[in-house]
Amino acid sequence: MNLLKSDLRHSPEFLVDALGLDSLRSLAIIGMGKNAGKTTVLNHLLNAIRQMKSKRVVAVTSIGLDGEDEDIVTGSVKPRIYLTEGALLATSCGSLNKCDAVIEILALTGIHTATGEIAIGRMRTNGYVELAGPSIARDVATCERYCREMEENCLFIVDGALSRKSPAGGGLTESVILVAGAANASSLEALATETARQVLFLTLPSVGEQKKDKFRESMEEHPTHRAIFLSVADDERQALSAERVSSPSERKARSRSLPLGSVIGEGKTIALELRRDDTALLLRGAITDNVLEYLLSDSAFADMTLVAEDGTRFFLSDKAVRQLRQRSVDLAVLSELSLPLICVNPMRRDGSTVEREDILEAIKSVVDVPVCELGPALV
Amino acid sequence: MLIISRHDEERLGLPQVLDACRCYSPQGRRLKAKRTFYAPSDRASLTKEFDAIESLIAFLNEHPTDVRRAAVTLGRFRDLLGTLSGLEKRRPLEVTELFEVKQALQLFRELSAMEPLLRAASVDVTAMPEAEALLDPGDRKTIGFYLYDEYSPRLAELRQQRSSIERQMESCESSQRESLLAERASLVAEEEREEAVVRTRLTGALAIYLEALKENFSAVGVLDFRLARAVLADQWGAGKPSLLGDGDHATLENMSHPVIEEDLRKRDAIFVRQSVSLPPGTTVLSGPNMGGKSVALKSMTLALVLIQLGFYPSATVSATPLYDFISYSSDHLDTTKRGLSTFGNEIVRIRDDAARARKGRGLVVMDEPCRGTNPEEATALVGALARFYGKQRGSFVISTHYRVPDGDGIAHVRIRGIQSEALDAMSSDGVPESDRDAIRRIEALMDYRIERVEGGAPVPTDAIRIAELLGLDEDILAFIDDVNGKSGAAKEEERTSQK
Repeated sequence: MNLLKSDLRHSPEFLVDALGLDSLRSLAIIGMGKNAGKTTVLNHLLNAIRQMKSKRVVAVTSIGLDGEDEDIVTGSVKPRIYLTEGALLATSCGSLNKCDAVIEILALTGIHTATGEIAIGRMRTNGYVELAGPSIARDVATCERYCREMEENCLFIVDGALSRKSPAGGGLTESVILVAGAANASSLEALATETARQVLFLTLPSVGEQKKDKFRESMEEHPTHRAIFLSVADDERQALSAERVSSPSERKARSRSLPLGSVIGEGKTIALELRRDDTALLLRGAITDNVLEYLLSDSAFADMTLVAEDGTRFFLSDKAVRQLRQRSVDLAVLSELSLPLICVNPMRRDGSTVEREDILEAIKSVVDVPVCELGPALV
Repeated sequence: MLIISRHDEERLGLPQVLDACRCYSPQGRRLKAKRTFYAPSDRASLTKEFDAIESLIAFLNEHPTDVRRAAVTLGRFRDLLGTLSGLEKRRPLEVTELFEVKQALQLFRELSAMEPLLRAASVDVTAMPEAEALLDPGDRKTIGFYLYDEYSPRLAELRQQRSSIERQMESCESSQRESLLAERASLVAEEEREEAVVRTRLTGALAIYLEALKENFSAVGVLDFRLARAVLADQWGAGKPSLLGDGDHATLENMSHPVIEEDLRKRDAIFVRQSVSLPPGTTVLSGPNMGGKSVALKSMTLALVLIQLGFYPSATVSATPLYDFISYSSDHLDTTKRGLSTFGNEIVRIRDDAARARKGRGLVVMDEPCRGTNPEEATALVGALARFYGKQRGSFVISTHYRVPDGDGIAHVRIRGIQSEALDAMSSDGVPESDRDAIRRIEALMDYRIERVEGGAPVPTDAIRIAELLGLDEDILAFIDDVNGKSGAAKEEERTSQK
């Protein structure tokens, strides 16, 4: 399908270059909230890939439901996702019935969602599809594995969401596009502030290799534990004794973990476990103001690194970020993300639009990442 | 019929053993979960199961690669109960369901080619080429499925028209776009109607093969479950059970409890295998504290339960008559059941077992019945039970500390326990470093072998010695001596002689 080209900068070639689509293996599109314009960006991406000289098979899935005609929550009409022949998709059986393309079923994954089991399909004709993918990271990875069994070199695209409940792209994909829509904030200033904060999280550096190894070791040993603490003695010994590699048992002894079902609602339990010699705390789940409130109430929570699995796991307010700085608590992630592009969408929730230049300017003024407005994708 | 509470099943280790019996297909897992109990009237079926498992054990040792390949194929089967039910009701199958059927047909073909394995398992899985052809009209030999153009010329035509409109849309003026989209939508709607017609037709055509599909799925379940039991038997080094006639003794040689054995192995300890023979009537198992009476009862009960569930037991030699029912109880401490007291609950259980034993030939196993009752009445009750079951056709096995007099149909066996010289030697080795050390030392001295005792079995008297070795307070031990009527001098003399 043809896409409207607002200007050369937003041409398909621009997206191919900006995102390195000819060699990228996986990409997530993350919206700042509902109706941010993720599907429009996805359609632009798909169009760009179709027009590439070197043909690439795309494989698409979503975190939860996307591509439906109408927004289930707000009732507004939504853009549809258009895939062309040969593309792969991972979507639920319930959503397959709402696709108007001919889709060859290649596998049923055993991953069950509210709208049925996730199937892997190949487009046998062009057509509109509804994506309803898995809601947890492990299952998204399973879908990618299935897709790569069919097409080893496919570009795996995850239509994600910033949600406390589900992981978006971090750790699962190489790259992330952030989509900020006028619908996601009450004003452009507020949108700019929230986008800047989100960019801060999405571009957080990875925790140091030694700590990362130790966290991973602990995660392997206790896959269900949600809070992992590293203490100072351990780091010091390693730093002081570079020649002597501590045995796994010694290293284990320096990390502690808590068997929590979730991070949310467990701030108090986590805070109780904090010790003054802790140097890093990994929380495997959504890190919210509420969790942080308990941690900050303990004076031991200072001069350390607070680590999330990836940048999409932080849901902190500006105030919380400031408080962390005052305590000399650095933020870091296990899986670093690449954020090559921010897309903005001038459409408000009520269907009216803000000025394209205004929204571009507002976001560009607060971030150091390329920002673009792709315009509507006619599909 | 098994009369075992959920808690007692856990104590017996039955769920753990069933978990260890690993089926790969949903069909195999369902068959396992069914827990078919082979009653005496099912002897022929059970014999067939054991014959197949015997052949499979030989096969898996000779052809391990083939077995691994079969396991992979079995693991790819899906639960198609809903799809088959839809087929039976002629509900037009969804595309994903048709894919499932196609996949299953391909797997049937794969399995049907594994003839030596199927022969060993005494199972028939047949390829269904005609049904496969229905779901692969273009002979593409692909793993996937969609409603192919070959199913309907009209469908092919509609798809071509849609494709043509989509091509026009790629280069059209925006003014034309809306009308092209509307035309496309109309074609899509007609395509969906035609697809529904195709699915209905395809469902009807597949329904002819419904019975063959069901038979194949059933065979897959049987193959998987037999293979899983063969693997388990092979791991245990289990011998093929012999099925005996009514009135014969059940015999288990070198039996172990696989769950406890595994736990001990993890602690670098060894499970001492036991042998036992259970005649019809009552068998009273006695033995010292820490002598493993409960473990012995569990091992023999689990072995006999497994045989009647179609498994090889964890014993090198096993032979047993088939019982109408097997009842096992050790869980008398749970007082919450049905609002009855501990004793009330136990008596209800004893009453019901006795009623069943009058009607059929059962195996009734009780671990220390009446343990919470006053010793005099408990001794009377246990003695009466022994006499009652001594006259029944089935077998009654109890472990108890109460004295059970000899009588018709009452056999006594005991765990040898610790020779008093060994206990004396242990006393002279000094104070154990820890409780664990003390327990290990006692366990090391224990002779777990089961031996037959002629006449009424003496009540074991090692409890106080073991309590002493485990460091019970000296004052308490002195009071025990007082209660037992030992004078201070006698006690001193005894201790001196030990030293």
